[in-house]
Amino acid sequence: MLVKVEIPPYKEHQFERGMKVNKILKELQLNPESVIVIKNSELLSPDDWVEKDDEISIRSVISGG
Amino acid sequence: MKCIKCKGKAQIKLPQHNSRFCKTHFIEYFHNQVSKAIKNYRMLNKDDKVLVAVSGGKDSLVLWEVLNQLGYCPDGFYIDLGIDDYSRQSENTCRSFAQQRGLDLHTVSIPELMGGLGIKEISRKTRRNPCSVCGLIKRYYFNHYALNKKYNVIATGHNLDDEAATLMSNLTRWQTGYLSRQSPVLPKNHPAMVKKVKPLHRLTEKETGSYAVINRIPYIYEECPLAEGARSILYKKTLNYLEFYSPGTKRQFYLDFLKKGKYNFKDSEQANLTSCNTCGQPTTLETCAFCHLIERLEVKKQVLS
Repeated sequence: MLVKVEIPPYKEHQFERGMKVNKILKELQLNPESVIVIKNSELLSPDDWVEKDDEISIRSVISGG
Repeated sequence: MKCIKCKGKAQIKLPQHNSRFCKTHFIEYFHNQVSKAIKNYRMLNKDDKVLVAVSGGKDSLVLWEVLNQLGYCPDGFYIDLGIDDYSRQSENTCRSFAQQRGLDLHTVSIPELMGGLGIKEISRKTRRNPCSVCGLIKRYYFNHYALNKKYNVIATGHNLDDEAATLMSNLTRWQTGYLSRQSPVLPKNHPAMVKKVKPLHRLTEKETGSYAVINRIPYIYEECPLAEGARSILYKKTLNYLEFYSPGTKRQFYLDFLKKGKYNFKDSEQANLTSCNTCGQPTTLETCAFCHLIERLEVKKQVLS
């Protein structure tokens, strides 16, 4: 699975197996309260399963200034 | 994970409410929270002339969308801050949002109004933090423009996280004047002041971001390049850390401050609100902070048409 983290420094991560969204966030040490996870323009919930061939993106919801 | 209302597939989990909602019921919940904010603080009437301050980010566009859906017929107001590509993309996002919905968008440009200078240049010239300069200029033009065009309410997209971060910042510095004035409604308490409201103050950034994605509202999600390292982001991350381990903390911190904490702080400055001797806008000093900034920049301020 390809995980695009759309937060500076914009890293991409490859996982060799499918897993739940909350597990992916844990692996990447991201706080679920600070991000949203999107697949094909659809919002994913923490319990959604992501297949190993899927591509998802993670966006920060924190705006600053 | 099932929606607590219809038992269909839940799209979003809200640990702070111990709730899970499908798309339809999340939208219903979201609109109810905005309506509750409006009603509790008497923010808006259906016949008010409302100007929504939009930046191209999720919060302001979601606010514009929801107010429009709730029947408030708001117009949008975009300020071009002159921050290179970021400002151009933000303006295009607001324009296409307005065009798709047949809404009116008003715009002004800071470089055009302030001698060709954008926020970055103004910040450098005055040696002031860019977020502080930006906030000062935006607040001035929101009020000035709304007053000129006879809008009687300005709505901004401040959400629960923004307000909780401001509260934390004010508390850590014991800014008692700011603490006494922090409110989802800033009333018109000077003839040259337009009432300001924050109808999203009960909703988190996660909720506004989710609403934008669920409703396919395109928005700019890259952070403003000048906001990097802003202290407000540090406060938000800290509050989200607490929220992760103790859901509901952020909401309780802010909403209970409004209910139980705020009245303990006395407003010492508001009583002394007067008119700026240069521009006539409300200020607690002889000359307002915006006119001081203009003086320091040595630019000729353009008058809004």
